[in-house]
Amino acid sequence: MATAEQQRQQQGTTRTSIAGTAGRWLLIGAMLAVLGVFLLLPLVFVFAQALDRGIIDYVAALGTPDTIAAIRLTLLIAAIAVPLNAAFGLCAAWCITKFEFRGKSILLSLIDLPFSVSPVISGMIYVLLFGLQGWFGPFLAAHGIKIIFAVPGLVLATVFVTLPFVARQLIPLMQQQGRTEEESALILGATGWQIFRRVTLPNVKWALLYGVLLCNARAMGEFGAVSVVSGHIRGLTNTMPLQIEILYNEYNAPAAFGVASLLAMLAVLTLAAKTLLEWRFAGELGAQKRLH
Amino acid sequence: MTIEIIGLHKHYNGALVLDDVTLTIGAGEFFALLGPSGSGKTTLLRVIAGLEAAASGTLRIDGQDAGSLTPRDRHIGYVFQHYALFRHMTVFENVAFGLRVRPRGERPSRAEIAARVEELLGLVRLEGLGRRFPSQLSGGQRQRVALARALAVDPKVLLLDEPFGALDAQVRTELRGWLRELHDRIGLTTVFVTHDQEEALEIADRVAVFQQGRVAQVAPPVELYDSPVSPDVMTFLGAANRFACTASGGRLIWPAAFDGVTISPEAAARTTCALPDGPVVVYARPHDITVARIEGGRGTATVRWLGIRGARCRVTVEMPGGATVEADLPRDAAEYTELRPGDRVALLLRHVNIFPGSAAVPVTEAGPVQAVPQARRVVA
Amino acid sequence: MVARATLPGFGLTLGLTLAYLGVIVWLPLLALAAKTAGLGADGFLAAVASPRTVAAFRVSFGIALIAAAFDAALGLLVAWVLVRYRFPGRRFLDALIDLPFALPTAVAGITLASLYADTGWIGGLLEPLGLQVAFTPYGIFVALVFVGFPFVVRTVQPMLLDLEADVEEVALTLGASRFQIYRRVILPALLPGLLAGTALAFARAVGEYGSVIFIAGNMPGVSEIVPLLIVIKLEGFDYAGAAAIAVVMLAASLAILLVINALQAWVRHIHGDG
Repeated sequence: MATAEQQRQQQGTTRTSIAGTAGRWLLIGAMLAVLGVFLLLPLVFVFAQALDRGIIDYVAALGTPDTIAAIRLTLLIAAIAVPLNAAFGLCAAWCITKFEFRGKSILLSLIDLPFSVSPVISGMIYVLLFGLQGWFGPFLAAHGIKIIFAVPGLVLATVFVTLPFVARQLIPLMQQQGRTEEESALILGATGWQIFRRVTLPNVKWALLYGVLLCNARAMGEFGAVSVVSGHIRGLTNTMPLQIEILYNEYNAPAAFGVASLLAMLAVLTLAAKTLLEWRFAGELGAQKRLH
Repeated sequence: MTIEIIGLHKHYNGALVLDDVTLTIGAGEFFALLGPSGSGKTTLLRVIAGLEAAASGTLRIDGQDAGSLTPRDRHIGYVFQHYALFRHMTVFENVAFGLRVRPRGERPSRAEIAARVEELLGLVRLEGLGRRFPSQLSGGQRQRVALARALAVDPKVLLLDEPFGALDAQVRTELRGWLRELHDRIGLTTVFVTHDQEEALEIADRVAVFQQGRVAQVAPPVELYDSPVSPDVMTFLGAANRFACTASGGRLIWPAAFDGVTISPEAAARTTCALPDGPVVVYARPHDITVARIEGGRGTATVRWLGIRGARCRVTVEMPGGATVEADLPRDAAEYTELRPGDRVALLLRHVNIFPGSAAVPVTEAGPVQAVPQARRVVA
Repeated sequence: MVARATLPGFGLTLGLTLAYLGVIVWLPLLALAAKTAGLGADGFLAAVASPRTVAAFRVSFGIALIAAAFDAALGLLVAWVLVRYRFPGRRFLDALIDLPFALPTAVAGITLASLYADTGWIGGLLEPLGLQVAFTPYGIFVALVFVGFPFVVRTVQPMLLDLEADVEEVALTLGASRFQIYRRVILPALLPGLLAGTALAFARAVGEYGSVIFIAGNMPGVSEIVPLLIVIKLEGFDYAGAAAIAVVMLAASLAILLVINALQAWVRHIHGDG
């Protein structure tokens, strides 16, 4: 009896158990506590707060004009920024992985740059460029073009912040896949566009989807950069995260959490899709799952 | 379709990959580019295909200068070493690719494409596998799909980069013969790259031996094997024993170290006519050596070891000077003469290649030429 | 021989890539540099070395460092348990690790602020003990730990997976105690990944805005983070001052990035890929 129990426990561990069986359960318990408090609890809290006044109020809060405008704006910005960065990612990945040239690592660092810039600075640089006191400020004012404190500025800031996502997913994969399929297609008579469409794209479709998912999640959730560029004009230049801030600062917690719950659902869906892709298409996602 | 290559040079990362390469490949020829890895043969193939450009030199296809033509315009078929099949397309779609990407005006109808693909699949004996994906095929099958794909666009010349390199020995031998048959049937100029001398010598019409970016020799297989132009080529093509000798007045003088070795009169007549005076190296292949037991224990060489390998027998003989010589006899011959280790024997060389010089050391696949103070036995 | 015989599209894609980067990344950064240059050395120093700014730097970098260290310990524990042990729900929890990364910062911000407020679920438990988290530097600490957590786990996990069981078993047969194995065999092997992950967490924490500003007290000198200071200056139209501080932040980020790259190269070197 004892040996059977021991055997079962040994099968439960992947390797030599350094901590011993009691220690093992202690560690698992500690980890569960940590993850529970740090990750699960906040997630549950969002929904609990959102539904604090009941489901009818929850839906009503989401239906106010300002909130609806915020949702539409967020979707609009994502609808512009994500395809742009996806196209950029494909373009940059093609250029970097199918050709040899010097300065590749500098280019890669440039693409990675937005990751290391604080969100607030990401937005601020556009204010410096297009704001009233900025480089192009007078020019824009003279022509009545509004970028800062208007939607174009929001789009720009979002594009900056989410620039690397798709490229970083595609580049290692395409590097790994090499050039020979494309060269074969070239010799068989295909034009550049045909090669890209028929040979390259199908080979990277899952990595592209993965990158787009992450890009989208970040685009919809971006706060710092957008906040700086926005002007916080209700109904006009408020995205969902900004709307959350406004509602929260007005002590309207349930409404704030209501909007937050939508974004939280998006986050959970993104995580689920991401996990699914990683699980089913591990080989087609590239050398390593990279954290951004 | 003829290919003329004149004075091609190419550098890569500072190293000379192609060094003044000049070759002509005739229409309908089955031509092999043979050499160790890194000798430049694949690079030459890629230059012919248009996948890479040479730094200087001329390339003419059917008499036209092809240097500025894109790969598409050269009308070549290319099979990569690892086939490079489009992994997300079925076999059918792979083979049909070249036809489907033709500009609207030149594109055949769907029915025509389907017919052509079926015809090609039949040609490469892969009928019925049109719906499979490359990952579901064996190595040999993938290779044939790659071939069918290349042939679909009616190329004027077929280029193959180590076509059998990634396959098992048995599949390799089968496909080798099959490829040659295919070539004979279609009559297409074919150039293939290989590092396997057996393969090149077995199926090619002519072989160009590459060493360190240079063409060492271009000749039909038999001539290459029997009359290699240098010790390097000789040893690359197969095992060879080396005997350091001296030539004087057109005759060979054997040193005491090799006492007991004689050359047959026919071999002597063929090779010693224009010997310059001075040190020379005599090469003899193991299977061109007769080992004869001398009665009365007066033989100068001693049999050290006999190894039976199927139908052949490998005999290791120690010479008076200490060097060892490997001979390769048919098993019956060895058994008939009842050779035993310890026997005193004499050696008869039935075919030799003699090269002047004494410091020549055979070039192995990886290493550069090095000077060596004393003669060494060579078995590649 | 003339033809540049390669795949088509090089000029086009390189041009587009550079143009896109130029407009989106380079131009604005150039504007930043120009604005700062316009300050002159004195103006720059005044903006950057004022007591309030220095305090903000101390808060941002200091707490980020402590949070990253805490993440290192926490992340190591979590990665260890996830890799080495099997238990129900393991896959689910593994996916959950990325939550701080996928969750919008504003959502995290208000959630943490409410949770740790005196009336919140957690804050309410801590208040009787005299511990106040929200609106103090402790709040910033909690938020930064949350934000940096996935980085450590995700860099340590692959290294743990790669650890060969044989090495540990050999150590056991040679008579090492379990603790010794941990200390002498496992930890050193994990160290590069741990450091790289911690550096990543630190880099992220230093620039974090949305998750922090709701839970921080935002009191100048005590709980005001650098990004907030930049926002305040922008709202006050002190563009130059904001730019100056931003430049310092960028320089610091760049330095951290170089360290991270070096650490990741070390990780790859040991990992054996790349």
